[in-house]
This record gives sequence, structure tokens and C-alpha cells, in this order.
Amino acid sequence: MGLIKTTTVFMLISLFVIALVTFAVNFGLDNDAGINLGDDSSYESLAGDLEEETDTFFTYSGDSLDAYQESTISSQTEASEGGTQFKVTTSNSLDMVKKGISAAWYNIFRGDDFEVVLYALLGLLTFILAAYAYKAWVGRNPD
Amino acid sequence: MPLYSQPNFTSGLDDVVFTTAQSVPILPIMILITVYLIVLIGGSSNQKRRIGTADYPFWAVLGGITTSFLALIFTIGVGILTLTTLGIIIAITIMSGIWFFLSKVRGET
Repeated sequence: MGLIKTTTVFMLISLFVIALVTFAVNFGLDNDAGINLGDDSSYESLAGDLEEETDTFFTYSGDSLDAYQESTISSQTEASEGGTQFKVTTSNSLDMVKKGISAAWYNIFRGDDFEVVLYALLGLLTFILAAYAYKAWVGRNPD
Repeated sequence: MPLYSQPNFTSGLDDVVFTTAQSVPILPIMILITVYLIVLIGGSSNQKRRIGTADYPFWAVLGGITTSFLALIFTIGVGILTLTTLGIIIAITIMSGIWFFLSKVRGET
């Protein structure tokens, strides 16, 4: 997966979680259900947090676009020195996935025993993401 | 002697499920697991029979969404599902969705 594909995947995961949780909560409210997902503390703020993350992503993406437009590359330069465009959008989109995974993980396992597995998988995901960002920025192949 | 109190079948299907769930609390969970497995195994095996390969993440997320909607209907009345069970079902759907979106490689739709 390239950088665009990776970021798109993370954004779609975030929107999927927002849609699912929001639908479940509003279904309970509209039908006056006895059991409402909104009563679960871990889901209570998840959709709201993810919506804030997407707003932040929208703002940072605009900033990244401005940075691209305003940047200049002198002759014989292979890559920009900063690479801040990749740092902003990818880390922010990864945070959205981490929130969804954490809430889902807690509701399935309810404990800290499997936390090391979660952090290991997230660490691997972060490493792969950083490697692909490096590939897109510098041009070398981390595969 | 019956294993559980017989429900009143003349009062409607919802009352049958509710009354049986009071005697056998695991019944709604078993129904949801059955629906999830039917969609997952049935869909993927049928797809494998037709085109040779099965998209397991797709059928996992489809089974999760189907199970979630059925579970939401179960939550309208108190006593069929608990909040913990509903949370686990939504969590499994979220994990299936993450698996589905991350499973797509470049150029694959």
C-alpha cells in the first residue's frame, strides 16, 4: 500500500466506526430501547472523538496542500528536507484507527492481559506506515 | 418435566424469544453467533465455489453488520441482550471492518 492508499484506508476505517457507533446509539434513542450502546462508557465518547480527529485531519490536509504549493525544490535536489507533509496527515489518521481498535479491543477482552498484543500490532502498523512514508518521500524501496 | 418454562406461543414471536431468553439466557447469543457464522461460512464458501477464491474479510464485516442490526432489534426490550454483549458485537464488527479495509492491496477493489 502506498501513502495515499494507507491514509484512505485509515480514513475509511474511521468513518466506518463513526457510522456504526452513531447508528447504534441513535437506534437506541429513537426506539427508546432498554439497552443503549450510549450507556457504555467506552463507546460514549468514541464517535465524538473520531469526529474531532476527522476535523483535525481535514484542517491538516489543507495545511499540507498549502505547504506543497508554497514549497520550492532547487535543481538536483532529490527530496525535500522537512517532509512535514507526511508527518502530519499519516500520524493523525493513525490516531483515528488507534481509537477504534482500543475501544473494540477493550469491549472484547475487558482487561490488560492482551494489551501487549495490541501494542505490538499497532507498533508494527506504525513501522510499516513510516516505512511507506519514507518511500514516498525519499523514493527508496522499503519492501 | 421440561428443561425450561414453555413460552406462550399465542402472544407473538417476540414474547416467545423474550420468555425463552429468561429461561435460557445464552439463547439470543447463540442466535447471533449462528447468523454470523451462516453469513461468514455460507457467503465465503459460495463465493469460493463460484469464482475460486473467497474474500473472507468482506464476509466477516458483512456478517458483523448483519449481526449488529439483529442485536439492535434485540435491545429494544430489556432482558434479551445485555449491554456487554451488545458492546462485544459492535466491537467484533469494528475489528472486522478494520480487517476488511486493511486487507485490500493496491489496485484491488
